[in-house]
Amino acid sequence: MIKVKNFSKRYGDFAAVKDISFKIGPGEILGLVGPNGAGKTTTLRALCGIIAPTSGSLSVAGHDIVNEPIQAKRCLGYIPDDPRLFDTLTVWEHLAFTAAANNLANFEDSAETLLQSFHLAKKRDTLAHDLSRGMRQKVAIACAFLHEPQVILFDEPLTGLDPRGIRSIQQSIVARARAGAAIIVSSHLLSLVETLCTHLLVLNSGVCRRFGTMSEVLHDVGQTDGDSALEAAFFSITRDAELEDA
Amino acid sequence: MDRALARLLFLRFRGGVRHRLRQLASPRGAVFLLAIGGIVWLLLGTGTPSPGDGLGGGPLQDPNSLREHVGNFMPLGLLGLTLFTVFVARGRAFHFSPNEINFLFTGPFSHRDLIVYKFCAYLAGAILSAAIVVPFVPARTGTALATFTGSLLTILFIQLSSAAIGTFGQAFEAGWITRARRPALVLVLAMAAAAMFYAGATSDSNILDVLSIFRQSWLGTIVLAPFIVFAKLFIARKIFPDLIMWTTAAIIINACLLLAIIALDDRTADRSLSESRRLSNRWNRIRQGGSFWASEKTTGHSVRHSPMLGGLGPIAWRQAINAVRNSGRVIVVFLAIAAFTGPLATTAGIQSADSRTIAALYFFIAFIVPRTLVCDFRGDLGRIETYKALPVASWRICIGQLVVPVVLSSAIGLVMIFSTMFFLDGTGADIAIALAAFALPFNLLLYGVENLVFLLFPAKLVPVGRVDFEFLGRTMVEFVAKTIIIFAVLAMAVGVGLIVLHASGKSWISFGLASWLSLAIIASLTVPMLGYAFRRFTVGETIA
Repeated sequence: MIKVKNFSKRYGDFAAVKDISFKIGPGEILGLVGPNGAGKTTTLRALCGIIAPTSGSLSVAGHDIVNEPIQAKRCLGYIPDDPRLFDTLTVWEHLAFTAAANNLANFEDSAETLLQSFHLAKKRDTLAHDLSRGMRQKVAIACAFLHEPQVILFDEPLTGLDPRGIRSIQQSIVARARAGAAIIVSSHLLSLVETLCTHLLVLNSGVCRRFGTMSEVLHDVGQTDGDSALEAAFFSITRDAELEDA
Repeated sequence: MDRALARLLFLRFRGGVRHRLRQLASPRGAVFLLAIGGIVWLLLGTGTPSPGDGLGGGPLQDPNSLREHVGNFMPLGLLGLTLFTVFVARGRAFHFSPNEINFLFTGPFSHRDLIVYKFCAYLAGAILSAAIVVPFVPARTGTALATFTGSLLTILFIQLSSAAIGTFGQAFEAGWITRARRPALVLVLAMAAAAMFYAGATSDSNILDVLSIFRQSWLGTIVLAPFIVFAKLFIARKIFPDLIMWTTAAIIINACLLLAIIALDDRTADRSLSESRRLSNRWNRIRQGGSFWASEKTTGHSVRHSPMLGGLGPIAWRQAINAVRNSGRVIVVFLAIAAFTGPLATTAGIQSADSRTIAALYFFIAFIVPRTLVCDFRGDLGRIETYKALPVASWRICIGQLVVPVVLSSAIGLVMIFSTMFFLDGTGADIAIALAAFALPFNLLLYGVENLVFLLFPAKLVPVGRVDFEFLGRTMVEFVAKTIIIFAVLAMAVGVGLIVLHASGKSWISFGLASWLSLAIIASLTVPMLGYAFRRFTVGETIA
């Protein structure tokens, strides 16, 4: 479903991502973790065609994002870390806009269901500039889910959400994966990644330090005691990487 | 003022200077400063234009005549500004930014200290503004000292009077003021319309003559008394008694206003906070391409469906909604200005063929309207990521972005053309119809170039602080570059038309058609260029 092969991205002399490769199949959830500036957002932005890769190939549901961008984006839902909604559109109009952009003629039932499930029904006529950070996040997620994408990319999905919102987003991520979607969740919340994800990719300084199933990575690092195994593994992997770099 | 606040003012001033110096030290900043310097030098070297130059022409080149005009019309302008504040503003006290509210309102400072602090910040900005005015004006109106003092105290008066009116309204919850606003506005507009009608009906006088008669009347002198002080100060020639006397009077007026604000502010702390928050939100929206006069509603009637048109529909639909909700009032004002162009020009005795009139109209259409009516890529800098993630071809996104501003600007242009045709002598129907036909391709070219420059060299839409050299320089350079491109394209289109005219044996219809087609084709070429610029736009890289 998602194939990334030898992907690199440079900004001038700065290499944001260096030669990473991974694959995610239907129903799998990949946790993308790493310190600030590791290249997580760059990877997600390249996967959804916002930035062009310097080298390598990225494909979404069998479509190369560079050569077949429209087909690839039709199969994709992307929720950025800071959802920039259109200030002058209402919540409902965001859904109508997304539906039209994705060529969905009959979107109203799905839109209603999403509004209900994200507790946005009362806010349907609220203009985006009057929404809180958490509400904006929910609207962005509802828009991304509207066209039932096969691939969903989350960049820090739980920022600004209240406990109820966090629970409903977690549940919907799992439900979408069960329905066959391939999902990538980039987050600093290691407990969230550990709970939700089936696979793990640790990035540091643009380099892939570990990739595999969650249990493989945790087993490799050998830190499985207690209930913060991923946190211990994360610090171990990134510390090793820093020592290597030094 | 509290010592900590004085220290903060000094640190902010130093930070501002440091920021400007850094701007100047960069190659881009230096280039833009040179551009400003060059344009200012051209203006000063070729004879400084004054605001009155466009109104009546020749007589205003004479310093005595210009001084007379300042003395007559400056008080009226200040009165107009005050009335505007009373009618339109919802109560603007001193504006505190969110960081000032977080740091200062929770600090050990009295309200009086905070007001004085804010006044000192305004004073520093006003000194800078007044210094900018000085090189342009004194040669014709008075002395440099009078120009500087007059400008400084007038700027402070405008800020203090609007703050005082706002604070007064808040302090007394001014229900009667709110109720009286609309009838009073209707009365003032009716008086303005009557004056225009009188000027139009009287063949030997125009609107400026009518205003001048009012200013010289005993009623005008009484009504305008506080404003006359600032006009007299501005054009004072002798230090004693003129400059000293009028400066003293102006300082007393400003001091009274400041004392009134301090006295009333204690009663309005909560309202001041909410007003500051409202203004901060507005500025944030302006930075993202919104208009100052945008609706502040929190809900709206949701339009249920968007047209598709292969992805072009939702982009244009979203910009149309944006234009109505964000710039609806601005559009109405522009349409009104366009509709009144003819009548106003007639009452002011302006000719349509006058080169200054044409330059003013071009400036309005090619600079003021595009700078104010931002409903395309320029207002979506923070949302390019969203557009790039859409399953829509880049050329469709670009057309969708251009449709609304092109149509709106063409509508404004058409209203202006027909208003001029009906009211101004010398504008024939044939010329008006020919100009109207060119409105659409011209605006496509205008907004295509505007957006192309923006996507290739993205930049902020509003300046940082009062003297943002880089912003000012860039704005000037962009306008000049855009004008050169537009005139080059128009010249090419006319050139093709002339060739066809020659080949077709003096057929003016063929000339018009060939020119129109050439302009339309060249304007359409901006769309693929815009598509290229959109594709190469790198989200997340530094914005100038």
